Amino acid sequence: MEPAGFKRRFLLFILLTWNLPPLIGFGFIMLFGVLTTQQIIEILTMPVEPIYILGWQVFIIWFFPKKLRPLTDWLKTRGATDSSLVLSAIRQFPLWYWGLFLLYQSLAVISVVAAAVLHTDFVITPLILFRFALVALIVSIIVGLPIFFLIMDLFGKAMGGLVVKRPIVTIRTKVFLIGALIPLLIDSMLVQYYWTRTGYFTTETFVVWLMLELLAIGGSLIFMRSFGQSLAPLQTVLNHTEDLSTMDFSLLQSKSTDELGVISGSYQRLLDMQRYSNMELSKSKAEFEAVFNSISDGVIYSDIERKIILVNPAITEMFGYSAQELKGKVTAKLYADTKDHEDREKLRFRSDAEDSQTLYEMQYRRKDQSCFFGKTYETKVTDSNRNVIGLLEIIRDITQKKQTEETLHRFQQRLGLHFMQTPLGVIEWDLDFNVVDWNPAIEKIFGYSKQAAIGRHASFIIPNAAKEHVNSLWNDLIKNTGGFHSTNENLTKSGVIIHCRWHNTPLVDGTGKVIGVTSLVEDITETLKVEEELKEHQEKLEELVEDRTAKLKTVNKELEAFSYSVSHDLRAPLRAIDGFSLALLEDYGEKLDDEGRDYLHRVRNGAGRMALLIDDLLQLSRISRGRLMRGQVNISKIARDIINNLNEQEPGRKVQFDIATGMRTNGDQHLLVILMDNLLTNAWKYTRKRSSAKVTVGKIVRAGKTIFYVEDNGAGFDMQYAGKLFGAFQRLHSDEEFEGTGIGLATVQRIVHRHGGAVWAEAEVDHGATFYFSLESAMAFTGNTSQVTDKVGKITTN
Amino acid sequence: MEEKIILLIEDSTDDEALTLRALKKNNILNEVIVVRDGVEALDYLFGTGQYDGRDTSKQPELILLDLKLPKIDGLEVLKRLRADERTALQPVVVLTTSSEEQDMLSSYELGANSYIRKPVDFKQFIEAVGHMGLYWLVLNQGPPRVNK
Repeated sequence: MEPAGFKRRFLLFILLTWNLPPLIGFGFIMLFGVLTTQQIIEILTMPVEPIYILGWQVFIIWFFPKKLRPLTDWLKTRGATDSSLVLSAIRQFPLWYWGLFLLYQSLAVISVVAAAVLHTDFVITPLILFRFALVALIVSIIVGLPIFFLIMDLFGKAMGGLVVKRPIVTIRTKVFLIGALIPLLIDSMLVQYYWTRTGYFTTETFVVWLMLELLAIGGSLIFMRSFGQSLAPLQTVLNHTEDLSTMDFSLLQSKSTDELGVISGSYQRLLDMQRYSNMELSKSKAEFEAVFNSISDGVIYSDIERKIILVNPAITEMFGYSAQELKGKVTAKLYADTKDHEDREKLRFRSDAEDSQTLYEMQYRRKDQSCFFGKTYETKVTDSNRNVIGLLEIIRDITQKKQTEETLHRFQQRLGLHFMQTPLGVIEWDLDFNVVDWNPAIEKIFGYSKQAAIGRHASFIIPNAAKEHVNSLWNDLIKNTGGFHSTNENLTKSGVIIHCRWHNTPLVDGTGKVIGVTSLVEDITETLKVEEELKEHQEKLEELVEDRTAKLKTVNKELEAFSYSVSHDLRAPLRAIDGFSLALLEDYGEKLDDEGRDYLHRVRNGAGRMALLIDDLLQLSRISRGRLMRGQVNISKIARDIINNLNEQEPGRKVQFDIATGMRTNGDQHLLVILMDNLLTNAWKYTRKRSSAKVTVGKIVRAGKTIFYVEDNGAGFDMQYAGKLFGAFQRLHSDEEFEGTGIGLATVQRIVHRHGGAVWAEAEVDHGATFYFSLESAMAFTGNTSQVTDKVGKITTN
Repeated sequence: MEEKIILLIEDSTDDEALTLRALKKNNILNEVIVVRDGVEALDYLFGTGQYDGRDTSKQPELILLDLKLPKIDGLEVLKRLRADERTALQPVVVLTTSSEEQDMLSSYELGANSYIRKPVDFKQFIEAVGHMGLYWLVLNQGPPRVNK
């Protein structure tokens, strides 16, 4: 209701309440002849009465709107203000209304009497006062009661939407008012009328009137009680408005036979039914949820626009979306290809009832954009009028199944290919040892075609001699206890005995029961022959090796004996030559001239050189013999020791040595000393003519291999003779220039070769030489000078 | 004091001459008995064969032994000599051309007291013999003569 309309109507009612009584009151006074018209005019023209009436008018126009401010405010703000204030204002209204109205009526009697006494010759008797009071009572009932109900109804209308938990004016009150006041009104009217007509009013009349009034009130109370009984079941509802669901509905049982009784009975049954259906509903809802949530297949319920209403947990797991993310979204979001979704949409509009359930496979897309195949069962959900109200889709992820199928297919294909192409013969047997399958390779081995072989018992390829062996194998095989491998003789179609190697596998079903046997067959007749031949050859070879080894041993022994002799027998004459030359010089020196003595000196020198040569040769031959004693060798220390020796032997020489520290390798200590001695002695020797001789010993690492080098700035040599460098007795310098036997580098090379390593050199005439050696195997860069140069650039010495 | 005899076991006359010269050059004037091969050496030491009747209680103060000998070689002579109590303790110096480690090792294993390699350079040889003589004949105290 509009607040302005409400206010207007309310004020109209209030003004009527305060303006009707004077009109009706004076009307009755004239009608009953209590006052004459002259007297009434006199009263009304006097200031007392109009002031009284107008004064009330002003008061109520100010007072009631103020009291009802909460109500008008509430209407203006459309229920936003506190409703408890509104309710308390309405609750207080009847008090104020009746209080003020009855006060107005009572005082009105006094004001009229006062005006009459003061301004007219009218004499007031107690009877007249009583008549005035009766008029006031009648007027109060006639005006006050209907308008009060009108106002209450106005409130009722205005308060739509306001929760009223307790009645403001109960039906019982209304019933009482009507039951008590209507007889009072009628009786008072009758008394006045009778009085006016007869002019007779006695105490008896008054007592009778009073008795009637009391009867009316008493009857009204009884009536009200009966009414209350009818209302009682509904009254209990009022007391349980807070928790209607837990209320005991037996309280609603009818206590009367009137309409209210029937209504409350119906209401009770209605509530019972509702509660039952509520219970049923929540039960079926719980059941539904339990099923819906526990289904391992994904379930989507969408409306006819395919907007998702509900999904089960399996869907969120399947797609990676949360239920919240999916709610309200079109199912196209879940399709790998939106075209598929469109196709499904088209089908949806074919609304023939037979098509209400469909089964199809669809590719779906997860939140992380990965796709999977889902087998989908789609159902149209219809209401009772067969209108489609939604779609139910049940999706099962069949990617795994699809993959398995594909793998199986591929596997079958591959197996088929193997079966046809393998050089191994393949036979499948049934449990009676009959051929079930026979591949091309086995056709070749046995000479029987597939058609000829299928269905035949195995005995057709088993020679008599092997039958017993094969049968025992077969018995083990079908028990799955053995016979998996065998080599035995077989019979071909042309009657030739061949040797075959068999690999047998029992085929078992899911329960482990043997249902057949597959055999792989290899014809090894040829192989056996070759093996035999090979064995023969091997034996011969071994004999040969033994023979050669023996010969080699003999030669070695001879060689050892030879070098032993050399060491003794070649030196003995030299000693004689030197010894007697010296004896000659000492004992007969003065008998010879200078030339003669010089010759003898030359003889001695020759003998000395020869001795050196023999020693070096012996060393060289010794290096080739004997065992290699490998161990950790400190190259740096060996180099330092040798250098100390050299310095002691020729203290006059000044050579700057630069030796890297901590150079270690794995090798034969004794041999490496000889090696380093040769290289350093060479460096020492060939730098003799340098004023600032310099020798560097270091290492470099290349391709993970350690290479040692000895570098000098001595005489060097021409690289075109580098190939001769390591040969025995090969010299690149004359003896006058640099003495030597030409065996030192041959010894070096032999030591390096005995270690499985490599040695090479780089040099330039007058610009020194560098000798590299590595004891690690297979040096690809032997003799490759360009690579060597590259290495020199990287040399580091510390 | 009896004269200290040196037994030189040497097949080469050249080496014999050179050795004697080297001893002389070092003023070692002891009597030197020279035998030509292993058999003769053992005959001398044990008083057998051509030396039958020699007083074997009198043994050389120093035995100079070449390894490469006819008939019985030096190592065998050394072995037998060490096996006999009369000569077991006599100083034996192996004087040889061989510089084979194996020879050196065998000699010491069989009880040689010294091993000297004959250098080709005669001056060095004289020096070596000088040192040897000084040590074994002058400084060294020989074993006590038990059976004398």
